Amino acid sequence: MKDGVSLLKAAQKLDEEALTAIFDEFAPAIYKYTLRLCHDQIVADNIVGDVFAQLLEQFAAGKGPRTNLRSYLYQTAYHLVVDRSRDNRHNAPLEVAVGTYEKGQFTPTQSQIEERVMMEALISAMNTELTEDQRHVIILRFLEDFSLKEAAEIIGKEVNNIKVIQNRGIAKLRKAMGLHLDEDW
Amino acid sequence: MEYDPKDQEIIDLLTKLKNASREEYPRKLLASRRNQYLKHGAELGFGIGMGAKMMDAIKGRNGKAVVHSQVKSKLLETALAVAIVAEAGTLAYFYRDKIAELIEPTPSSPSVEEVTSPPVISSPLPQVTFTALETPTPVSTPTIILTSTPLPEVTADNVNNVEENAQLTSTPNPNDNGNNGNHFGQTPKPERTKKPDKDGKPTKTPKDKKK
Repeated sequence: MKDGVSLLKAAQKLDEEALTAIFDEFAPAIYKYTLRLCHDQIVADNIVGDVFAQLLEQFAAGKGPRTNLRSYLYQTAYHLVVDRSRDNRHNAPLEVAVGTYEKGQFTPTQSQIEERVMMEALISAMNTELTEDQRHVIILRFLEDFSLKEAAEIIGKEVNNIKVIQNRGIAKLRKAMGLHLDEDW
Repeated sequence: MEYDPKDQEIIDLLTKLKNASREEYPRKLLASRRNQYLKHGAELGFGIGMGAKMMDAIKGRNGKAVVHSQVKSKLLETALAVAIVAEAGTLAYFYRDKIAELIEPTPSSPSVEEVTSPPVISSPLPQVTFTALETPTPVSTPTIILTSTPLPEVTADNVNNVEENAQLTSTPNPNDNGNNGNHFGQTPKPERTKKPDKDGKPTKTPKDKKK
């Protein structure tokens, strides 16, 4: 298995093995991320296809990412989601993204039930209380594990701006979840 | 990165949400998308690969490849030549009548041809001779002296003639003689003349005046 840099270099030469490895590594993650944003499985699948088709075309044209492939793919996916949302606005709840959360075959324990209630409250708060930017930053930072810098690159804003958006988003969620009600945001 | 302790609860919940999310890429969709992606990559990669091989052949990096490509090109050339000959033969077969008409002289065409000699131009072309003519340079222009025209003189005889002409007689005033210019009853009555017939009888009156 090639490391990140050599994989990227091989992919730039349209090496089949490298291109396949990139798809296998990132396609499921891009799908999840896109699903969180657009809430539609078909749209998410189409966006994954578009993201990787664009990547191939960029490589074939001698362009494309040189360093951070992951950020590049997420950024492309984000732009495609934004483009689609302009045409067709979807406001499906985030539960679709969470999907089969805690739908196990076993009977849940008391703590599991409590946790599930909390999760549902969190998802509801994310859908109703946060702005688009706040929700996107929270997803990138805490569900996709991007750094502030990477999130700033993907969204196309300054790092400080991302930090502010993130803090306000967290505060709103906290308030909505009934935690530290003394905070005023 | 460390967060504010009051935010930590939310961040923990978000981490749990991330781990709890089990929504996977449906296998069928993923497999289909993967195949599509590899196909697209093969199309793009195939083009690049062909280009690279052609460049190698041109540069002669690989001797075997060059020999191989030469044999291929000769075969291709021969095949093309054969195809062209076959196509030409087929066309000639289809249009054999027209070709025969073109080659053989047609019997219906007139055998005698009148040939007229081209007209001979007998008149020689006018020869233009160029002679150097010396144009006389103007010497001097005569000066014109303007003289005044004589005005007609008024003499005494002329004056007398004018006076005589002024004494011409004018038409008399009719009232002077008691004649107002009317001549009623003075017009002479025309005499009625009847031409006699051949027999000496007067001519018949017209039918409308018989009564």
